[in-house]
Amino acid sequence: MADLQQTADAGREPDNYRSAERRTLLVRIAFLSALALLAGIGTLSYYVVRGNAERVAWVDHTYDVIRATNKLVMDHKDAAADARGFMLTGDTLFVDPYHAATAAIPADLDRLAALIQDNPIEVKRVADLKTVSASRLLALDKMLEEKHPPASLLGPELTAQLLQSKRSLDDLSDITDAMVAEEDQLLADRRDRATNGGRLTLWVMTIGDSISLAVLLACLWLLTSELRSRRRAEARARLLNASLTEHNALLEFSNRELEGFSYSISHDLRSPLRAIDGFSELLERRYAGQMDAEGLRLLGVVRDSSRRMAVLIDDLLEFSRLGRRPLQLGDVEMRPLVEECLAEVLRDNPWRPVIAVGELPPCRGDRSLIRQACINLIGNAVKYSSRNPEARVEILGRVEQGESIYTVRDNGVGFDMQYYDKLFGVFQRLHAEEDFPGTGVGLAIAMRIITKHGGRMWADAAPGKGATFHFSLPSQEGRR
Amino acid sequence: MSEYKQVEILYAEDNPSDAELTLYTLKTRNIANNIVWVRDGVEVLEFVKYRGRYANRSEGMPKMILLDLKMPKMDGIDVLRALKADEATRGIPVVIMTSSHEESDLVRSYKLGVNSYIVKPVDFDNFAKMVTEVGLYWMLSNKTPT
Repeated sequence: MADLQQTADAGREPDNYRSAERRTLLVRIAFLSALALLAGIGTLSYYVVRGNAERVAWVDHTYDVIRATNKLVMDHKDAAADARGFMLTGDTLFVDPYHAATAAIPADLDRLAALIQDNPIEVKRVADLKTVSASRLLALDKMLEEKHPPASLLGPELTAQLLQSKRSLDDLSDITDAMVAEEDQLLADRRDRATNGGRLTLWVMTIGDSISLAVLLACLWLLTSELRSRRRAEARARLLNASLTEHNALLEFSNRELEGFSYSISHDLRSPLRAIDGFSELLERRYAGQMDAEGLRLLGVVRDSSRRMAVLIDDLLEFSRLGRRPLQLGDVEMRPLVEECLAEVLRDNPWRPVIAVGELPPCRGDRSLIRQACINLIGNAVKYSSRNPEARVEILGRVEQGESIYTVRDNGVGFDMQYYDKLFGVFQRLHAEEDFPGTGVGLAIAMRIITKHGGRMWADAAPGKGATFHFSLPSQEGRR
Repeated sequence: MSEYKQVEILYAEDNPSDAELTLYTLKTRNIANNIVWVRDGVEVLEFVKYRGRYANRSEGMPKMILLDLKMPKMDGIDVLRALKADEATRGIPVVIMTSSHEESDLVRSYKLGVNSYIVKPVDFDNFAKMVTEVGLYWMLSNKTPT
């Protein structure tokens, strides 16, 4: 069940990965667009604030114009009042203030002109003002120079002069009133424009801010959900890891159990087996004379079987000992090792296959164990090619991706790949023992030795066409 | 004194089948005739110390002791330790014969001063050959101080 679950999870993994990629992209886009929106609103706000500052300046300007206009009117009125006072009283007390007021007027005009020079209508009005103001001042000056005796002399001439003075002051007032009205109108226009623009700005800012807020909130939600799913995945991975570790520990335990079991089995079986073998031999020695041929044959079967069992037990013992023995790692020169193996395999061998040994790269491992594996593989190649009158055994090597890979090939009976999964099992045989003797532990031992080194072992074959066995071991360069 | 016949081999083995095969081999190959077979380690020590049922045996030490490792009451390693610790028995060659391939047993035995350590072969022919070789070597070839 747990395995199925794991497989299903593993199958979903790429999908999860792709959707996570998509989510990340989405968050990135959303975040960037929110940022762009905020930047736009910021720019807009900048211009709005700057526009406001300009408007404030314009309002100030309008008030400046109005103030300057009023000052001009006031100075004219002062001058007129002083002139009138002097003419009524003849008192020179009025002369000084009169001069002060008239002296201020050109300056007032200049200031006004400077203030309104951007407005053509007002420029024209100021020009009119200058004319009116100049002629009025001229008239006032003339009135004073004539030095009329005070009070008694309110004759028709003076009355006319006074009336004219009043008229010209009215003209002046009309112009300045128009100017002030113009400025007021401008101010009102500007205020309207500002109000409308401000309302639009407010809308844009409110909507833009709301959108970017929503987008950012969506980002936040996406990110938190991403974080949550990641945390869940981590928890799941941790759980899987833990169960894997547990499985490994169990596996290791049962492996060790199995090794201990096979060891004690083979150990404890030896004693009764020795008794069977020994006592049947004693029986044969002492009572052979009293048995007929069939009795002797039966006894022979007992002895043969017990001997076979003894060999099986010794092989099993050897196999179980492999697991208990720690590796003694060193650099292994394979060529002399293979030559030793060949010598040992061929020593008691009546037939002589052609042997071809190619380049053999060195490897790293436990020399005596690797030697055992090589003896088993080469022994098999020699054994299973013995029926071929042109028997040939090749031993080759190469280095591939940090591994030394060795190949033992024969042109013997081979085997059907259909039974491949039985090939490396303990006591598994693909040929009858009558044809090729052996207990079927040799390949299992070789496989065990190679896997113990972290290497791999595989084979290919076809019936009647020979078999090829490959195994890999860490190469010397590949080691850390 | 002339009547005294020295015990040649003291043989400790709890498995009667193994014992019979060993005794058969030793006798038929004429390696030893006077063999004492005991069933456990305690009996070995009783024999060499003249105790228990061997309190009244005639004096003299065996020429060699054959020890099985796994025995009831007192196993071969303990017997070996006791024998090598005692001045009177230290000189007797002790050969351990066992079914065990256990490396630690071998190491411990040699540390305690065993003279030979032999793993019994399963098939009788090799077993007989081995018993014969051990017997010949320690009984006939090897010289011990007298």
